[in-house]
Amino acid sequence: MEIFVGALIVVTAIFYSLYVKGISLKNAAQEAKSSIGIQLQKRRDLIPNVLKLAGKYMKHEKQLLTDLTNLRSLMSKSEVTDDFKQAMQLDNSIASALGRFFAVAENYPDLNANENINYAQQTVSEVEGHIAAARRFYNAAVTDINNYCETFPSSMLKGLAGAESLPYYEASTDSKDNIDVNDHIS
Amino acid sequence: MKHQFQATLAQLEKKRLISLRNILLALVIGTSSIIAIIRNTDSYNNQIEDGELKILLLLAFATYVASYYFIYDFRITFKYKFVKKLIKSFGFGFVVSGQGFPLKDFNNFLPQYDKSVLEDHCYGSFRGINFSSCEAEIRRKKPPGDSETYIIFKGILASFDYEVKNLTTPVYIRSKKNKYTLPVPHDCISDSLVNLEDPRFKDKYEVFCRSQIESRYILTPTMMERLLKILTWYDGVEVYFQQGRVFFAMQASRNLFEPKLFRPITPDVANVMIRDLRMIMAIITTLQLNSKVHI
Repeated sequence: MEIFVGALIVVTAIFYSLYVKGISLKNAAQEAKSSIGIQLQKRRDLIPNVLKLAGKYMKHEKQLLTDLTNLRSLMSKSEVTDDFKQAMQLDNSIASALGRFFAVAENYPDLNANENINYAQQTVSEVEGHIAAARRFYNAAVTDINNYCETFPSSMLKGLAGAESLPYYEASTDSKDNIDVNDHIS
Repeated sequence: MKHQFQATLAQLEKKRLISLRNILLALVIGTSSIIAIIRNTDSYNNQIEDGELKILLLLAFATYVASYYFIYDFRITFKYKFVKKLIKSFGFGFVVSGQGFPLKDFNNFLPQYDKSVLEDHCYGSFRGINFSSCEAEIRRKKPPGDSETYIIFKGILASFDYEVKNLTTPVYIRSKKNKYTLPVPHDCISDSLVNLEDPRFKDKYEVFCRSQIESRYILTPTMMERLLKILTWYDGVEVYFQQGRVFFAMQASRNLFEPKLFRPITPDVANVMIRDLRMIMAIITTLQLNSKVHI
C-alpha cells in the first residue's frame, strides 16, 4: 500500500514538474516574440527621423522614401492584427528598404556630411544587430517549446499547460539569393 | 631581432652561468653544513660545541637564502635587460613589478579578495586598441581567525578597449574547464542561463547575462567561433564584456616572460617571449576588437 502511495506521489511530482515546465516554456516563447517586437518598434521609430533628414537632400528619390513610409504604416497595422508571419515578411521588407536607402544615400555627399545621418546609420546598424539577436532568442525559445510539445511524456500535457508548437523565424527568400555585386556598383 | 638582442642574450647567458655556479656552490656549502651537523649531533659521537653548531646552522640557512637570491637576481636582470627592451621594441610599455596595472577596473569582474600579487605589467596600443595585461595571483583569507590565504585566481588578467558594440548590460562568459572558477559577477546573475545555438560553444562555455538579447548581440555565431579559438591557448578563460571595455582572465600553468635557469639563453628563448607577447595581441586580432563592422 505504501509503495503504491509512494509511486503515486512520484508520478504526480513528475507530471506537475512537466506541467510547470510547459508553462515556463510557453511564457519564454511569448517573451522572445515580444522582444522581437520591441526591437522592430525601435527601428520603426528611427525611420521618421531618417526620412526627415533625407527629404531635404534626396528630392529625386521620392519613390524610395514613399516605399519606406508605406512599409512603416503596414508594419504598425500588422502588429495590431497580431499576424506573426505577415509581420516577419514586412520586417524583412523594411530591412531591405533601409539597406537600399543607405546605399543610395552614399550618392549624396551633402547628406553624408550631415552628422545626424551618420548617427542614424550607426543607430540603425545597432538596432539591426539587436533584431538579429532577438530572432535568435526567439528561435531558441521555439526549439525548447517544440521539443516539449513533440516528446513524450510532455506532449501529453501540452494542452493543459497551453503550450503549442510555434514556427521558426526564417530568412526571407530574397536574402537567401546570391548577391550580384554589379547590381550595387554603378 | 637577431642582431638587435644577440649581445644582450650573450650577456644574459654569462649571467645565467655565473648564477648557476653560485647557486650550486651555495647548495654544496649549505648541504655540507647540514651533513656535518647531522654527523656530529649523534649522541654517541658529539664532538661539536654549541657555538660551532650555531655557526653551521646559520651557514646552512644563509647559503639556502643566497640560492634564492641568485635565482631572483637572475630573473629580475633578465626581465629588465631583455624582456623590457624586447617589449619596448614593439612600441609597448612594461613594468616588471606590475605597478600601474588598473586592477580596480576589474572589481566588477573579480570576486572580493584580500591580497594580490602582480608582475609583468604590459601595456600599450595595438591596431588602435588600448590594452593592459598583467600576471596576477589573487588570494583571499581563509575563514575568520585564520591568517592564511588561498588562491582564487592565478594567471593573466587583461583588459582591452571595446567600442565595436554598445552594451547596455554586461555579459560574462566562463569556460567550463577552469582550474580556478571565479563566481559569476553580481550584475550578470539572472534566473536562466543563456542557451546559445552553437553546440561546440555550449559544450565549452557558460554564458551569464541579465538580457538574453544583449548576450546574443555580442555572441554572434562569428564571435563564438573566435572565442572557441582563444580557449585552445589557455587552461581556462573568463571574459567580461561591459560598455567600452572587455576583460579577460586567462588561467595559465606557466609564468610568462620567465627565463629557465637550467636552459641556455638562446634566440629560441627570445622567440618564446615574443610568442607570449603575441598571444595577448592575438586576442585583439582574433576577436577583431578593432573592427568597425558589427559581426
